[in-house]
Amino acid sequence: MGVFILKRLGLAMFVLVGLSILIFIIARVIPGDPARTALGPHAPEYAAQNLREQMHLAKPIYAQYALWVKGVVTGGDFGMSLLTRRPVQEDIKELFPATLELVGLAAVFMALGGVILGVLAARSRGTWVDSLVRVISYLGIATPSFVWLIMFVLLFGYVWPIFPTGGRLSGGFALPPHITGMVTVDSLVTANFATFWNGLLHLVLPAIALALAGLSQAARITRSSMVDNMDKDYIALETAYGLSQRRIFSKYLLKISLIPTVSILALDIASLFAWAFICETIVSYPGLSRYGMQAILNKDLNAVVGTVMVLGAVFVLTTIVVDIVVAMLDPRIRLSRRAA
Amino acid sequence: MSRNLDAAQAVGLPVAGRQAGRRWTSFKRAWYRFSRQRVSVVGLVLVVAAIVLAIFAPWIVPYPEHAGAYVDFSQASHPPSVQHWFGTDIVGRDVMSRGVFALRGALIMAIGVIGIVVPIGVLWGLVAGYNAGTKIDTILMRTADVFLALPALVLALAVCAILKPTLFNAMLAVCVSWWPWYARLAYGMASSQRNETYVSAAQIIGAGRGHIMFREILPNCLSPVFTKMALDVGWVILIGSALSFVGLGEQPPTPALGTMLADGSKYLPELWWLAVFPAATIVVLVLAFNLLGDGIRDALAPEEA
Repeated sequence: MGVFILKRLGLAMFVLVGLSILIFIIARVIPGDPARTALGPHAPEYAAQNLREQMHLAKPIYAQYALWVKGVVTGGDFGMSLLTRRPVQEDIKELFPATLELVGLAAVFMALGGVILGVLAARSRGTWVDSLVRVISYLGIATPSFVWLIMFVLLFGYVWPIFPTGGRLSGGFALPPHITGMVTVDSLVTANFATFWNGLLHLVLPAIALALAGLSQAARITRSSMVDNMDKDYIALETAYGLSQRRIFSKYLLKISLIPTVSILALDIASLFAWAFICETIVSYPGLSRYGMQAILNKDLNAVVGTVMVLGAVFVLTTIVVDIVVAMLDPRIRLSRRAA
Repeated sequence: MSRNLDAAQAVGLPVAGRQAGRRWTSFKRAWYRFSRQRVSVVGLVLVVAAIVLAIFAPWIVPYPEHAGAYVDFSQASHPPSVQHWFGTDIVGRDVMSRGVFALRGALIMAIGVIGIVVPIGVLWGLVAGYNAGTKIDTILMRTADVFLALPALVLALAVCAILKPTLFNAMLAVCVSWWPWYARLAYGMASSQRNETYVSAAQIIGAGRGHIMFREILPNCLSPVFTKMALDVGWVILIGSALSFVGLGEQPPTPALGTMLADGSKYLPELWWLAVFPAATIVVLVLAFNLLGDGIRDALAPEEA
C-alpha cells in the first residue's frame, strides 16, 4: 500500500510540473504585449516598461519559466495580480476556502444524493421509482449547472424567497474570526449559530445547482453497478446460506457496487470546481472560481496561472485520495501486483 | 482508475473483418437493437430535426434577418405570441429565429471538436498501446495525463480567454482538453488487443507495424470509440454553451445559445421568455444527443445494456 501511494504521488508531481509548463506556455503565447493588455491603452509607457521587467518579458520563455518556478517553489510566489494589484498567492489564500466550502457541500450532496437515488432505483428495478430516477438523471445530466442556478435563483430567491441569493452572508452578519476561512466552519467552531445558518443558506442553491449533474451520473452508475452485481453467483450463494436480504444488500452488495461510483465521483468533484467558475459568478459568491473567471475575462495572466495551478493540484490530490479509497474498497486492486 | 472503466467499455462487437456482407449483417442487428428502444428513437428524431433546422435555418425561420444586427424597437420585448412564438428580445428580434440559427454554432462546435479530437486521440492511444510498456508508451500517456490534470471546462476557459473569442477558437480550446480521453480509450483497447492471437498471426507472417496497428488492431478498437463519440456530443454542446454563456464563444450579433441565455437572464423574471427558451433549447438538444448516444452504446455493446 505504501509503495502504491508513493508511486501515485510521484506521478502526481510529474503531472503538476507538466501542467505548469503547459499553462505557462499558453499564458505566454498570447498575441500582443501582455503588459500593455493588462494596463490598457491609456497607461503611460514607463508603467508598461516597468511591468514588462517585473514579468521578465524580455527574457526567453524558458528563462521566464525558470524564474517563475523559482518564485513558486521558494516563496509560493505567483506574481502580482494585475486586477487586484495584490500578490496572487494572497488572493488565492483568501478566496480558496470559500470555494472549498461551496464545492465541499456540493460534493456531499452529489455523493449522498447519487448513491441514495441509485440504490433506490436498483432496489425497485422496473417499477415507477426506477423510471422516475432515470428521468431525473437524464434531465440532471443534460442541464448545465448555470441553467439550474438561474432557475433556482428565480424560484427560491424571488418568486418564493426562502433562500438568500448573492454573496456569502447577508447584510448585518459579520465574517466570523478567521480560522479556516470557511464561514460555516469558523462560525460553528466559535458557536455563532446565526452566522452559521445564514452562511449555509447562501451555499445551498449554488451547491445543489453544481451537484445535480454529478449526482445524476453517480445515480446511474450506482444503479447499473448494483443491478450487475445482483446477478452474481456470490449473491445467490449468500441467499442460499439464508442471510437476510437486508444484510446481503448493505454488507455485500453495496460496498462492491460503489467502486465505479467512487471512481467517477473523483472526476465529478474536479468538474465541480470548473462549473463553479460560472456559478460563483452568477450569484457573485466571492470564491476562487469567480476570481479565476474574472482573471480569465480580464487576461490577468499571473492570476490565471495561479488559479489553474491550485485547481490542478487539488484535482490531482483528489484523484490520489480516490484511488486509495477504491483500493481499500476493492481487494482485487489492493492486492494485485500491477497496482503495487 | 479510469483505465479500468475503459476496459469495461472495451467489450464491443467484433468488427466483421473486411467482408462487407458480415459487416452489413452486424449493422442490421445493431439497428434492430437500437430501434427496439423507443427513447433512443426519440433522441434520433430530435437530433435529425435539430440538424435539419440548423442547415435550412434561413429558409425555415420566420425572420431570418433577425439572426444578425437587426433592430426594431417597435417590436421590442413582446411576450410569446402567434407572430413570435418565443417572443422578441429587447431590440425587437424574434427569439425563435435567433435560437434556430444558434443551433448552427452548437452543432458546428460538436462536429468540429469530435472531428478533430477523435483522430488525434485514437492515433495517440493506438501508438502508445501497441508499444505498451516501452518508453514511447510512458512519454505519450504521461503527456496525455498532463492534459487531464484540469477539468475540461477550466482548461477550455483558460485557452479561450487567451485566444480571440470566436467559435473556431472555442472549438480549439475544447479540443485541447478533450483528446486525451480518446487517447486513453484507444490505449486501453490497443494494449489488450495486441496480445490477441490474430496479432501474433499477423506478426508471424511478417506484417509491418503500420499494417498491424491500422489494419488489424484499429478496426477492433472502433466500436467503443464510436460509442464514446456518440456519448460525448452532448458534453461538447454543454461546454460550448458554458463558453458562450461567459462571452467566450461566437460573438454578437451572431446568436449563440449561451449568450442568449446570459443576456436574457438579466431581464428575469419580467421578460422570462428571453432566458427560458434558449435554456430549454440547450437542455433538449443535449438530452437528444445523450438519448441517441445511449441507444448507440446499447446497440453496439449488447452485453452491457
